[in-house]
Amino acid sequence: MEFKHYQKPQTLSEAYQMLNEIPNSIIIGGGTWLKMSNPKVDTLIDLSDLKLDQIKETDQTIEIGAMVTLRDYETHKAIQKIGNGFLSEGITHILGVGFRNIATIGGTIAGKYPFSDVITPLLTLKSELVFFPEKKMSLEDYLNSKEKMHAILTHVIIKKEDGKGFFRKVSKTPLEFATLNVAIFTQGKETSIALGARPQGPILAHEAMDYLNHEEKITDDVINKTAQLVLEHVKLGDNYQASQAYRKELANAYVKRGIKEVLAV
Amino acid sequence: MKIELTLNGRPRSFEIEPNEYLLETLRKNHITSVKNGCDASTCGVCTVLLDGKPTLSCSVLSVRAHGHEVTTVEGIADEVDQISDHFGHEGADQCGFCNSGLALTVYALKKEYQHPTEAEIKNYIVGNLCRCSGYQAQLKAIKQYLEDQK
Repeated sequence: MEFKHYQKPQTLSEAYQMLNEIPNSIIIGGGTWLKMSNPKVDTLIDLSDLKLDQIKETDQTIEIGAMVTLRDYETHKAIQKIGNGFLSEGITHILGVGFRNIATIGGTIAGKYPFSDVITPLLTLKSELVFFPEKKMSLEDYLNSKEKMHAILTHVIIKKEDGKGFFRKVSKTPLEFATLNVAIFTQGKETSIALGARPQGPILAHEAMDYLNHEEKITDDVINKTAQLVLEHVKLGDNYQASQAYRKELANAYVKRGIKEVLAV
Repeated sequence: MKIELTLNGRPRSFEIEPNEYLLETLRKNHITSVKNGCDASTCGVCTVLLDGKPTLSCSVLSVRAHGHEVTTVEGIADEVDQISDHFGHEGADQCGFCNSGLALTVYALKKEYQHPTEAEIKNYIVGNLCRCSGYQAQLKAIKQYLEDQK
């Protein structure tokens, strides 16, 4: 990416004003994807001075600033506790520590990167996004929205859940994009299933979740039917990494394995 | 534009372009221990410590280093000598191109973990590629280095 100007606002109001008044300007997170993206941009707006690199806990939630690095997120004790550490597991196989010390949570989410190993497990937690000016939106709604976002993502809020989580990034090495991501989280009688790197972006498997969550007893037949519903309703495709048929085999295997793991069947 | 930072303990200022990366700034100012490998966040040979944390200098804008502390192998020469001795003893290096990035990562690993497991060591250094050694000798050298630091 080519760009000519760089701005470092001192307040969110200033950043918002720049984003909406400077033609051809974008917000950057860690900036790790700049080299790999093509659009020509005149001005980069850097949020580094806005104290968005903090993780704050309340009794019930964890509030993650948009500029928190993947490494700080991965190693945060409260985040490691959620779902047996499945959120951290989502991060720990993204390239090396030197990369994860730069890339940010906000940059990953705002970019809606289809290969994101961060978004898929977060989707299963009903995560909420906070924007400036004042606006809240579920992560799922944000991913589904098509309109250009003029607000600035400032925080991700996740509930301190004590359920069990499962995450698998399917790839030969941490240096590759995932061929498929599968995340499953269960708390009480509610289980969420998300798939990412399909190669399209992360998505919740609503039909499969509805079926599974209405079953009283989880048997092998129920798990098989749940996996079948995932394959019927979640679009899986081809790209240079894998065929649709191979992704279907992976999804079938990992959805079943994940359900068995989180529901201890 | 001008940035000011602390490089290996000394205040420095550099003239940079807004779209310049730290790797380029360091190398054009003769800090050539920081290597240019893949230039795409993957190989780790450009690793520096930014405020003590291993960071790929090919992927961080120079302007982001303004006001911060950058450390290359020259800044922790004694530690790097010890790490290099262990690499040499185990035959863990050949061409040496990856050594400075790996040495900085190992140094940061030691600072971050008191007693890392083998899995934690592997996870920490996975982003530092070596096309010569095959990693087993490096792993042995790192474990021995950490053991000797106790």
